[in-house]
Amino acid sequence: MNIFKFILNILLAIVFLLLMDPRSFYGLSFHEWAGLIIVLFFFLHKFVNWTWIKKVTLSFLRRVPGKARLNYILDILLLIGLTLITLSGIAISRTIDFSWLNLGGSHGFWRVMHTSSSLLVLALFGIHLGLHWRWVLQRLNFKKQKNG
Amino acid sequence: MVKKISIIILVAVVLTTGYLSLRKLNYWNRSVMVFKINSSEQSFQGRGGRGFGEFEGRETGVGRPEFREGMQRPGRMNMPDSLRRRSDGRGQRNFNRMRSGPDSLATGRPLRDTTFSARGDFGERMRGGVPNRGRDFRQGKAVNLNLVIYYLAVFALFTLIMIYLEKGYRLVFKKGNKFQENSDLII
Repeated sequence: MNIFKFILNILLAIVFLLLMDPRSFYGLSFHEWAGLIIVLFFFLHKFVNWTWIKKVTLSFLRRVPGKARLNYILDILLLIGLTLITLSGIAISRTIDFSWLNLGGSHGFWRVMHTSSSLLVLALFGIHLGLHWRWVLQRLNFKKQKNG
Repeated sequence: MVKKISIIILVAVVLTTGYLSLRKLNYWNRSVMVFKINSSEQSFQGRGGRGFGEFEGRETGVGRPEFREGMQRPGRMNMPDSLRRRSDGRGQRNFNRMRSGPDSLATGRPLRDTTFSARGDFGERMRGGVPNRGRDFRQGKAVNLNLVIYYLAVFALFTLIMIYLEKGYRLVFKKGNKFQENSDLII
């Protein structure tokens, strides 16, 4: 399971970086489709870590280590950021027709929202990875497993 | 010892490239741009996202904004006659040609910095053996990871900062940390 999580996380990081510039990799069409698909993979990422989410949610207001609490808050911020990226991406999409959704707002507003939220989420992802760096090293066998 | 020196060099490289990338990408300004939006701002209405600096990768003070995907290009009717004449019959506007012209628009405008433009300038390019004459990138198949590398550097910078902040925190608050260390909620 850990290997699956690890590969999933690496893929998410690579695709997210490719999505940071719509022109870098096969143009806007790839950007929009991959952007939609990656949302499903983020949900998969949450699903495979559901036990942790459940535990921290249930004991968040009681005795939870500070780091777990920080991770939890960061995850919520990431979720909000990703929701904003997705919504604004849908609103300004050009190769996929989402006009039937009638999200309202001006194109310029959604563009700024898309750019700003994606940049903020990139920073949050960096922080998220930094907080899980020991887990990454454990997967790479650079550090001994915590439980033997 | 060698390992320590390598780590120090690696950290220095990540910090430097990350900082330079932050500046090149105009990261902070573009990140907080969304908080500066005034909903009554006239320039947002019906515009293709111009005027708020969201031209990705544009350095501040590098002349006029680039025409990027989603940006509205200057209307033909707004062009000076000299430019309009030049683009007649071509079907596409060629901004390189425009720039080389003798009129005030061409000479007064600084050259665009194409460092961050995967499209580069709007000059002719070959796409599938056919010159695309600066056609929109959406039809393109090119892979150009220049900008992605800058974003990767920024990503690495934040990761590194967090790794060392956490290490510092561990060092400072080492005492009574058993609960933190042994908790199964710490991943």
